Amino acid sequence: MPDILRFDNFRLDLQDDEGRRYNLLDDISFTLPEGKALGIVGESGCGKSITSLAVMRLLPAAARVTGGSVSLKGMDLMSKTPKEMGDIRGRDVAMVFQDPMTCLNPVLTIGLQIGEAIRRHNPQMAEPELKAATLELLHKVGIPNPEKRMKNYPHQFSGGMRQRTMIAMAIACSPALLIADEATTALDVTIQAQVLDLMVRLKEGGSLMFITHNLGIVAEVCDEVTVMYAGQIVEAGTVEEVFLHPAHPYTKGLLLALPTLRSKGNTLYNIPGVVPTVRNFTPGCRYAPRCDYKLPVCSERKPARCVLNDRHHAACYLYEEVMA
Amino acid sequence: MTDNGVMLGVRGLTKHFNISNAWFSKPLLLHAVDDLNFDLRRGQTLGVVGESGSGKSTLARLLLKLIPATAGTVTYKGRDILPLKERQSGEIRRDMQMIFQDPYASLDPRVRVGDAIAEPLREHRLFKTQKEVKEHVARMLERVGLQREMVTRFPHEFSGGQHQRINIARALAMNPRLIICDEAVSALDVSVQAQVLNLFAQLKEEFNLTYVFISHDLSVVKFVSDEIIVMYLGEVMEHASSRQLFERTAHPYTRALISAIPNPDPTVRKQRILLEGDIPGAVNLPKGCRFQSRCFMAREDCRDAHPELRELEPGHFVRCHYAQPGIGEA
Repeated sequence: MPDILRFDNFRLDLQDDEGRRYNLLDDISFTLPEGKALGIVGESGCGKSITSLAVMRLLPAAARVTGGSVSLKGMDLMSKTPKEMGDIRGRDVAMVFQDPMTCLNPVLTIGLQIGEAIRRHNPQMAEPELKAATLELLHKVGIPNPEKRMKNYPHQFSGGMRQRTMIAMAIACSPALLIADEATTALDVTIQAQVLDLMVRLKEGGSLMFITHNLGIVAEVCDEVTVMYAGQIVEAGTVEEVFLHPAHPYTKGLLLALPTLRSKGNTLYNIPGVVPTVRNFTPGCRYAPRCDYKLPVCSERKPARCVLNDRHHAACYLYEEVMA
Repeated sequence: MTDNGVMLGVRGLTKHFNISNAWFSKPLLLHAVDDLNFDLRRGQTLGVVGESGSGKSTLARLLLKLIPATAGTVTYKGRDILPLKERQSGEIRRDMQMIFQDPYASLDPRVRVGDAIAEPLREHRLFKTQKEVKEHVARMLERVGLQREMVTRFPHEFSGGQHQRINIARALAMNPRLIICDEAVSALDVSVQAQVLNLFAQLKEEFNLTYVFISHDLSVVKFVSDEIIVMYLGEVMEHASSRQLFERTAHPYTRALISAIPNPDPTVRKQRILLEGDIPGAVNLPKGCRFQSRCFMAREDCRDAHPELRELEPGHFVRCHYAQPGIGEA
């Protein structure tokens, strides 16, 4: 199966106002095979969103790419001109963000905004066709009464319907890859279930990348998962492998810290401390200061990626002997 | 004692907001909370769950007398607190504390953390000297896992989890009996959420606290609660012990909520119950059951007859004509 998306040793620094540089993404490598759903998990500040923004080439002004490559359908994204990127966004890759209210223009109707997304890649499309396509999209994402609803403004929509609108705009030109960045986080659980169901159903042959802090969502909708901590990939593999046999102490901690309907007793496992800010990243394995299994070597050298089996790998010295 | 261990007794508590915006039109009522009843015993935790718009936060505000009730009574240690004047409410204000969702918005960015915690102590004149106040504030900071040197810092120097610890320290400083947590861990990351939930559990033991724990997250509520109320459009749909609610789920709404929680165990590929549509507005409520427009079990009479809350088995209340324990299970 060809890879739709491929990160190779991608490195990114953030530069502050005084010109100091801090490394944020440290050798990010992963692939997303065509037709699969990949989940990227981690807490806030772990670099998940910046990774997805790199695919869209929507990085903040302070970001400096210092090495590696990101390729989408074999195209090297970092070498594209802004104009070429404009053609790629929407047609080859599209993104749904967390907060639908800040993504929709409050003074334009829903129909107009969806139409705009279609027209960007089909400039020759005539008005009646455009309207038909808009209606079909609204229908596809399950908005009742599309004929009437397309004349509404965003404030007349509920949170769930706005997120459906964002999905309609994202799939308007059938992109090969759809990225959802915490797309259901702001929604109620019953609405979240509807939206997740919708995204999985609309995926059809396309590929999905889910950025989320919710491990439950990854377990339910993704095929593969990559766990990030402070800008490093700590563990990756198929969902079954990683969730049933977590290897990295961070992944184990995250799974144990989650209250589930099955948790017993009255104390949850908790990882001491918090995710550091980019200025306070430590050398070596960045998780070491919070790790229960810390070895002296952990804060000196970054652990290599240890292959546990063909569907699972982790970056941790605990598994070095497996390699040897 | 006359209150036989009941800390908080709520009877027929109702809050309607008039949201009509014309002067002479008929009042347009939003039913935020309708006819709520429960008893909360000392040392117990009552969990309140429901989606946005179900009336959870209105309930918190009613219990704390932050907004006036339309009808009903709230008794605290056997005493009806709703008719009390603000001047007479001092003791209750001390005993009942609240922790809010947004850890950033609940601290004044220009007030040092120590002063933020000390302010209510000074207001209620709990200590005679400033020295005693300072010592108490420092002790509280240590109790929630921060350092006493942090009193001189400003809120922006803290992370989200630390903010929530400061808010807990501030509530705890008043030596309260009852703490109302309104989505107190919802804005926190998983690892920090676990730290704060554990802290709540320790403090409960240590200070014999009683909690009302409001959250949209059923797994968090299950973890902390002894008893749980499930609300929908201002009404209690199901009220049971935490165990009964999960093991003998009776209401279709509760069943749908439970099935909607994404499960981190990939071996469980359960049948999800997808509810149609959104929670409707709490104005112009239907004549029958408030949940019928989204219910997967609704029948003809659900549209006409409004179900009463009935006791299905001892201590297990449900508002549904067709409820039975273990409903909708695959």
